[in-house]
Amino acid sequence: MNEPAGAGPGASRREGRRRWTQLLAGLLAALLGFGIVAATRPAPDDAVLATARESDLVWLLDDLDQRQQRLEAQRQELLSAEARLTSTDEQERIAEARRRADALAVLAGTAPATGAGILMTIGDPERRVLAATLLNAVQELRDAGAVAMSIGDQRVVVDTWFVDGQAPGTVEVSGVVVRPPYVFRVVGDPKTMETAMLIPGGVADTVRTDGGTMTITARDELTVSALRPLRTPQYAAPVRPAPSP
Amino acid sequence: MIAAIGLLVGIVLGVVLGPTVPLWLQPYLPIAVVAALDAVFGAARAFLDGVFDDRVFVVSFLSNVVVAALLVFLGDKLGVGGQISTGVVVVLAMRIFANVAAIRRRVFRA
Repeated sequence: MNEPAGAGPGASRREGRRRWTQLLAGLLAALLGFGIVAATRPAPDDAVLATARESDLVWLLDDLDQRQQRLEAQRQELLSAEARLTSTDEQERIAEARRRADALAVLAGTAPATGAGILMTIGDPERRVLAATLLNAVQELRDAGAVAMSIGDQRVVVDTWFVDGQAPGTVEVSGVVVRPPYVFRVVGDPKTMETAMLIPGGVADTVRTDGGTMTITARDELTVSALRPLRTPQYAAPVRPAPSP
Repeated sequence: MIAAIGLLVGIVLGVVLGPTVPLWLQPYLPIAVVAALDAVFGAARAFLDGVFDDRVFVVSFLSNVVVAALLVFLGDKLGVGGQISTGVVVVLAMRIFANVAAIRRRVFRA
């Protein structure tokens, strides 16, 4: 036991075994490091599915089922609309097409929209209101049923984007610099939208924390007159149905 | 010392090579890593107590990893994989905390 190192064959063998286990320990530690890195790397999506537990998969399947039902209902709706369109006479078809074009024009921002709505002004004396806040407001308003809206003289449509301006306290809306106060003209249900803005922790609270002011006035009649030029799509062309006999 | 160098080498290799975990290993790797971490913290405590032994480390490391992976494998087969993974992680985490507490007392005398 107390042999001095290298005094006999037993000691050198023990020494050899010690080195061997040391090396093995190092190897295992290396394996652990490798394992940690491997385990913390995000797995590709399909691998997630392949290794998901049964309960998770059931949940995912339920979700897909529900979505399918929703889409199926939507399909039925569209099919009946199609049947209505193809069966009715020319006059009615044109009227329906015009109604549809009007609705789409309001959504696309190529036509002015009028109706009940709110006039919302966000003042920013401390120049701390960010583009993100405006985007948040737009999204909350949309969730609350906003049909058409504009910020300053910029119509807000589906592909409108926001970025903080070069100068502090300004925001670029789709590439156009807009300065505070930001005036939102929004057509939609005034009550719902006002509630959505004033919800605790919502847009109004954010603006107040940024040192801004916010006023909302409900209007029975309000016009969103800012327009967005119609762009011809570069890649997509609409499919024209073959004229029915 | 060799173990610490090995750990570093392993991490560097992992970052450089960017491995993708094979499918059959994916449920077990995280548990195995936690089990191995338990062995490593145990080893660190033993090292500070002056009773560290490579052989013990190797054996405890391997047995920890194998037992943890086996438990999870069995749990998956029995349909309680999620619960057993949680159980294993909780127990190992408690042990890690206990070891860290011992190390802390030793190093900071507090």
